[in-house]
Parts: sequence; structure tokens; C-alpha cells
Amino acid sequence: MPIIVNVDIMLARRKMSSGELAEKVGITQANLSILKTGKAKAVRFSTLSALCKALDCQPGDILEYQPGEEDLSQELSGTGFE
Amino acid sequence: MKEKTIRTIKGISIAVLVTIAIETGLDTYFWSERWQNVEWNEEIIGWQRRIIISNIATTYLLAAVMVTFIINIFRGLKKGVIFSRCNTIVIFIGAAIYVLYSFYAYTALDAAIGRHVNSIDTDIFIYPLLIIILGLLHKLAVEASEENNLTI
Repeated sequence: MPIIVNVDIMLARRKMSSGELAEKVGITQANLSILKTGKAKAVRFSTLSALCKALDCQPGDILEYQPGEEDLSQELSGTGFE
Repeated sequence: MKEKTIRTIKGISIAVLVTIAIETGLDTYFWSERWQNVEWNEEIIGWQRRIIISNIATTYLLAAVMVTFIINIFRGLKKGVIFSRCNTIVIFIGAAIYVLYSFYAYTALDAAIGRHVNSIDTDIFIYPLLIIILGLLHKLAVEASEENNLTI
């Protein structure tokens, strides 16, 4: 999944535990773990909003785009560099 | 709304289980009577026995599949899962058994009166095909549900 959720970095900056964050955001620790480990398929805007509020940050601070091999090959497919 | 629907599902499922129990009980009772009244034809007695026993067996198999389906629904609802993956397999197995059940049910009517006729009717295929369509839709629902569970 090319979208990385960098919650750990913000947790360290805000000196907050995962349990505390999960409680503030209103999700279970298991779901927070799914987010942190990159297993989530999608994030609701309401959850993203609650995360940003709890961590006092912008979405760009916790979301990062890293193209995977599939995305790179799709980009290159029109350029002749496959 | 969702709670009301789940309660309705549970209520109807219990009604189905009770109906299956009563029907299976009645079938067991009446089959022993029907066996006495079969017009055995010495020329085809082996075929008659196979068809009638297969009819009984597939009736019980189909009942077992339906009970398994209902039990899986209850297990799933207990865990908060509406569409369980195992029920997709149960639906497809049910479709296959229904083909056999329909064939033997129709043919057993002739076997019981000593006629050697393999009855094939469009009903044997139409309802299982519909069940397969429902099974495929159920499979899509399972995949959508699992993806939804990974939507935080």
C-alpha cells in the first residue's frame, strides 16, 4: 500500500502512548495497530480528523505517499523504460 | 434499524430451524410408512432401492446444509460478522446438493410406483443456478465486509 501512516513519529513528538491516542480518537488499540502496521485498506475522514486533533498536526504530518513497484511500473509503462 | 434487522434475521432463522426439525421428523416417520407401500418391481428393484435411499439421504443432507448455514449466521452475528466466509462455501455446497435432491425427489415418485424413469426437469437446474448467483453475491459481500473491517 503506497500510503504510509506515520503515527509513531507523531506519538513520539507529542509524548503520547498508543493507548492514549486510541482513546482520544475513539478507536480500539487493535484498529490503531492496523493503521500503524499499514494493514488498513482505507481511513475515514472522521478518523483522520480525530487523529489530527489528538496529535495536533496536519494530515500531511501523518500521511506519506511512497510509490510501490506496481505504481512505478505503471508510471514507466508509457515512457519505454520498462 | 440495523438492530431491528438483526433481530428479524435471528427470529426467521429460529423459525427455519424449527421447521426443518419438524419436517425432518415427519419425513423420517412417513418414509418408514412409504417404504412399506412402495410397489417393488423385481426387474428394477435395485434401481428403485438406490433412488429411494438416495432421495432420503439427499433430503437429510440438504437439511444439514441449511442447519449449518443458520448456525454459521448465529456464530457470525455473535462475533459481529454479518457475511461469514464459511457460509459462501455452504451456499455452493447447498446448490450442488439441491441438484441431486431435486433429481432424486422427482425420480423417487416414479420409483415408488415401479416405473423406471429418470426424471429431469428444468427445476433441477434453475433453483441451484439461482442459489449459485446468491452464493456469488454473498462472496462479494464477504469481500466488501472484510475490506470495511480494514477501514479505520
